[in-house]
Amino acid sequence: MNEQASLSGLQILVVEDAFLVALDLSDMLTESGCRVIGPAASVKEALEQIDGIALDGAVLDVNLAGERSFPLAELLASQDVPFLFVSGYDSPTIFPDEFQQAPRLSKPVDPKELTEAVARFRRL
Amino acid sequence: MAQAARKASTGKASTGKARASAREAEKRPASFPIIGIGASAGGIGALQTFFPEVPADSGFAYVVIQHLDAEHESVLASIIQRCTAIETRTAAEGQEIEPDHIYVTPPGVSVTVEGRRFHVAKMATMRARRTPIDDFFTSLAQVHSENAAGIILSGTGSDGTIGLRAIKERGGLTLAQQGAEYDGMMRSAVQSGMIDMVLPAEGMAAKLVGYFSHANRPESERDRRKREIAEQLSRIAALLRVRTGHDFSGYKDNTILRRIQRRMQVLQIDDPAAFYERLREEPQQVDLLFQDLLIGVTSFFRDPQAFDALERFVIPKLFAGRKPDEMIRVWVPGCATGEEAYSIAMLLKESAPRGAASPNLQIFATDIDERALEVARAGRYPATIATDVTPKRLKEFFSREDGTYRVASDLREVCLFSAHNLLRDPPFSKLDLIACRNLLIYMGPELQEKIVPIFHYALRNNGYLFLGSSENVTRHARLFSTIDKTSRIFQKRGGAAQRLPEFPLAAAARQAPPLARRGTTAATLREVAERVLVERYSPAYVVINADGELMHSSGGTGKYLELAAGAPDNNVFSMARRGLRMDLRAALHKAVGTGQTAIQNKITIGTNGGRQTISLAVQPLPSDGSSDPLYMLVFRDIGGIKPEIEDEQVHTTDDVESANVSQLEKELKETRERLQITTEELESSNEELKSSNEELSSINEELQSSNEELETSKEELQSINEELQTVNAELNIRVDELSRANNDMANLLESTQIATVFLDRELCVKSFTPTARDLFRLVESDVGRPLAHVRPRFPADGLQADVELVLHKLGSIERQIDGADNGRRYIMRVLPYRTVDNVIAGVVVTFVDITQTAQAEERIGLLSHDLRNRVESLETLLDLVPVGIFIAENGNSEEIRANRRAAEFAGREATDGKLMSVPAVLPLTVDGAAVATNDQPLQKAMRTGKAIHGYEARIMREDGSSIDVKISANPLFDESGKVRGAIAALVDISSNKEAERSQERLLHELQHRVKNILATVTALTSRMVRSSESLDDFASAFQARLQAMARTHELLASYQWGGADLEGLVRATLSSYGGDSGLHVVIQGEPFQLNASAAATLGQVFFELGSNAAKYGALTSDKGRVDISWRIEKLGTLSITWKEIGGPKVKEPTKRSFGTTFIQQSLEYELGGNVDLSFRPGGLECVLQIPLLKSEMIDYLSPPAPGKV
Repeated sequence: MNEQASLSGLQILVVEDAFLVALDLSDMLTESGCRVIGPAASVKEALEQIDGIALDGAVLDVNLAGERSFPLAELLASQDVPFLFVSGYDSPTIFPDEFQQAPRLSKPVDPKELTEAVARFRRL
Repeated sequence: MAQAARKASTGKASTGKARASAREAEKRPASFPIIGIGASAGGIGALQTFFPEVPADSGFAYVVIQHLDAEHESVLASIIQRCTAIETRTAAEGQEIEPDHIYVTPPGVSVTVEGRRFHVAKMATMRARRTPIDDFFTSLAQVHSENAAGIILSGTGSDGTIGLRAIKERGGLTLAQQGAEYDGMMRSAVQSGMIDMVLPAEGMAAKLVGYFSHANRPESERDRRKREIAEQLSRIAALLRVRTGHDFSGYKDNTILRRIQRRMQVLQIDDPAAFYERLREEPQQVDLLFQDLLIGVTSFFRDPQAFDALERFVIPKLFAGRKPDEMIRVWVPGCATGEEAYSIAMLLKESAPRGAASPNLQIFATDIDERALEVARAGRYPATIATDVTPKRLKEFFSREDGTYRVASDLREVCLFSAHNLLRDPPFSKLDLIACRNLLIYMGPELQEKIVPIFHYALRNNGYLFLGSSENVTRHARLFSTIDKTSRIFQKRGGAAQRLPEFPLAAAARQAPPLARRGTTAATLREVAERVLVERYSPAYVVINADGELMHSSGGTGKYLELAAGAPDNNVFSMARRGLRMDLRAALHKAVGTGQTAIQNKITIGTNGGRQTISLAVQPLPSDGSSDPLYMLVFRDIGGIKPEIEDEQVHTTDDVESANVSQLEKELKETRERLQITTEELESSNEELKSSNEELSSINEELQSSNEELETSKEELQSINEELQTVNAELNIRVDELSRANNDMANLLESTQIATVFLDRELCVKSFTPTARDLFRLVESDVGRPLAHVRPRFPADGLQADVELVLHKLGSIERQIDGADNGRRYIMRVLPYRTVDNVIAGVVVTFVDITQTAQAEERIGLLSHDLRNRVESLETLLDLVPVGIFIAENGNSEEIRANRRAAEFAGREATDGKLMSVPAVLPLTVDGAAVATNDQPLQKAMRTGKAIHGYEARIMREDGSSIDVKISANPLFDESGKVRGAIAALVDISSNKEAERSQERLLHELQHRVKNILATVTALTSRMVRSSESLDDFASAFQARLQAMARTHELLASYQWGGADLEGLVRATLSSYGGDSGLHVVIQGEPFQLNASAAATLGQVFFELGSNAAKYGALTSDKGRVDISWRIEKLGTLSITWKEIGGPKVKEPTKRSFGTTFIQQSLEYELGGNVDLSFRPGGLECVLQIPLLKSEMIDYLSPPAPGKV
């Protein structure tokens, strides 16, 4: 519950193309006290949804029905918004160099790991 | 030369000049000594002794003149070459003489020197006249004078002597061989006094070098020496005078100085004083010097103007009023080698009337030097006399013999050469001309004083005296009048008292009487006694024939007979003195008539100064019958001569004194008479002596001519002999060579193991080699047998025919033959046997055993065939393998050959199966960096000599594409372990790489999908757990959903995750609801391809719709059915309609189930579409609208795009 407290009030963007998974992620974050922005199924949708919102962080699926979420990650990085990737890919090779060090979570996501990872956004 | 050429281009005039100077240069004598070496029989041995001692750098040229048989090819040059390092050549026409060379004259020609070049001319046909050594020496002396040397080696005959004289005359050096095998030539030369030194052959070289190093002094040095010699001349002349009686003191000619200087050179004495001492110690040297001084002071027509004067003033007078039977007598004292005598003889001959009218000519030529006389008698002179003698005279009086001129025989007959010492021997008498030129100058005044009267005595009245230009008889004006002062022609004054001069003149004791005179004293005593008796005590007599012709006369007939006036007459009647004629006629008549002796007594005849009473007897001589009877007239004096009658009348009687006077007068008269008798006797004996002298001289002439003939034939024999000796020596050497060659040949034949059989023209065995013995089964006795009789160890059926064919066609035949029993194989060659002269003298058959060769050849053939096949295989392999092979060979890393694949790597178009050349450097990169030339695989392997194990690299091609390759290389080594090249192999690993990459991608994709599915399942689970009423409810629903998902995935997997056909998706999803019977589900729509993610979403949607229909809708009854149809609408939307028909009556549910919610939300979320659900009473109707282009989620015929979810 300590974590829940620490996560409360954080505005977190969720980008995930699979409907059920997006729903699940949003539920986990909401239960931890976050305010979920989205979920968005594409980069375009995500950009529409975060317009005018001060994000505290973002959870990004890498593959959005064939589209990569790296342009969005770049934008977030330029705005100093912390984010983490959620991906089915284990190999680091598909990640561009600048995101090799970015936090990553493997699908299916363990709710505990997710909350811990998102909790680190605050400390930053 | 170059300069001359440049000059030549400037103009024609200078061209001529340049040419002329070039010619002059050739004419100029060489600056180095030329040594002429004459040899004949035994000469080869002498040459072989001489040349090894000759230093190779003497700077001399050597010319060997060896008497050789003209018909015989000579190998002399090669014989000489064997014993010396100096280059030896055979002299040829126009060849230039170079120092430090040996030249050998070829046989059958006469070689002479012209300038620095040889001139080769044909030799005389008569052997005796061939004098090649003389010819060469003479020309050598002419051209090179003091730089010439003549050497006479072994040989017979006298060739060389004349040549040496020429050399010595011109100041050259002359040597002769000591201890020569044949010493004829050398002795002839030594006797002529022309030899400076006699040395053994091995000592000559050193002498030559010493001499010429002495001779080659600078000009000033020589002049100084000459002056010094001139100072010593008087002392040397004194020695000469004492020793020889000749006085050279007044004769300061340069010639004499040069001769003395040369003599000193020969003795290698520098100081004239020392030379004088040497002369004093060795009188022999004085003789040698004297001989040198005597040489060459004479020539033909010396002082031509003097001879002109002689011809003009004297000669015509000699012939004036001569009768044909008279004789013109000329004496040439001091004639030396006879030139002067012959000159005068020529003048006389030219002026003499032709034919029988010509008076006889007799020239007595005398000298003390017997050797010179021999030259004179031979009458052979060097060709150089052509400068002194006009061509007309040469043609008329000489015959050309090789390089010499020989005086014609008729001229020689005129000249009688004899040894005579003017100072000791009595002179000739009744001479018409005495030519004594340049002799008196050697005499002291006291000798001259005595000699001139001798000349006067010897000449007949008005005879002429011809002296040398520096001689005179003006002191004897009483004896001689001057005819031409400048030409020194004088005439004897007549009338002067005929006083007999005193001789012998010389103080020296008279020599022993000549041999001929001793011969007469050796006659028998009786003959002597009888002759003295006849001469002294018998009366005078004459022998006449019946006509009174005088046939013979004793001495002392002058009292009775005298020459009549007018033309001389042989008739005794006309010769009879006063008072005798009548009685003589009567007595002869009587004797002729009776044949008895007729005597007439008391005949008084008038004789010189008185009357003489004589008795005359005519005695017929015994006749031999054939000729006229002869009669001897014998005159016998009776009492003394009585005075003439007039004398008797002068008589006084009375005076005592007159009586005394008359007494004295009487005594005087008697004395006179006695004197008269004595004088007459003396005259008669003189006459007799004269006549016998003439007889002797004619005999002498005959002897001389036969002697000459003998000499000629002797010379001829000698020269033949010499040539034979030379040929023999050469042949000996050749025989040695031949036997050596024979030995070599025998050993060669033995060692080559080539069976050879020689056949003659009749095809009989001539000889064979040891190897042939076995092969042909030959034995020694088979020599001479026909080849056909021989039974060889091989099938020889065709042999005879082959041999005959070769003999016939003169070609050659070569074939291989197998031995009959030994399994051997031979090459048989049949060739014509050619002699050295290219005459076919038979056939040669050779057999070479080639068994091993043939076997080896066979093996080589097999191996090479095998090798060829292997190479071909290898080439094919190289062409075939998909591996690039680069080969560098022969240590050359620049020249690289490549197979087809490698050529492609190098960006070349491969043409055929052959290897092709490619650049040494490939565009290789490793990790993006270009590979340097040195590190290219081939170069590196060659450089390091180590194998390079496979590493990966990339070839960048010109078109920008690249190939991944794996490279390995190995060096190649030759037999000695040296790197000779390298081979690199490049394997294209591009496809492997690609496969690797795609596999990796696939793996990622799979992982991604699995995880996504797991994530979906996880989310589905938690959602269904929340909405399920019971666990059973959850379990069945969950299971059904998983199965639907599985079916969708199965379908997608069958499309390899590339997407799915819409109809297939519908059927697969609804199969568990009777979709398989086809009765309950009706599908209608164009074939439509869905991508994988749309298929997955739609699959869930159809499952939810189907599940609801089976639970509550049309599929609950058997009669119900579902119509599914789709179409593409214009706005780019896929519109799918789900319509349930025939099911139970539908009521709109109060609460939306999980399924319905999911359909709507997920379609909306994932595909951006919307769902329109209408719960109509007839059945549920659901319309799904899905945008096509906007979201690009569905496309036509899209390939399975990897990485898309």
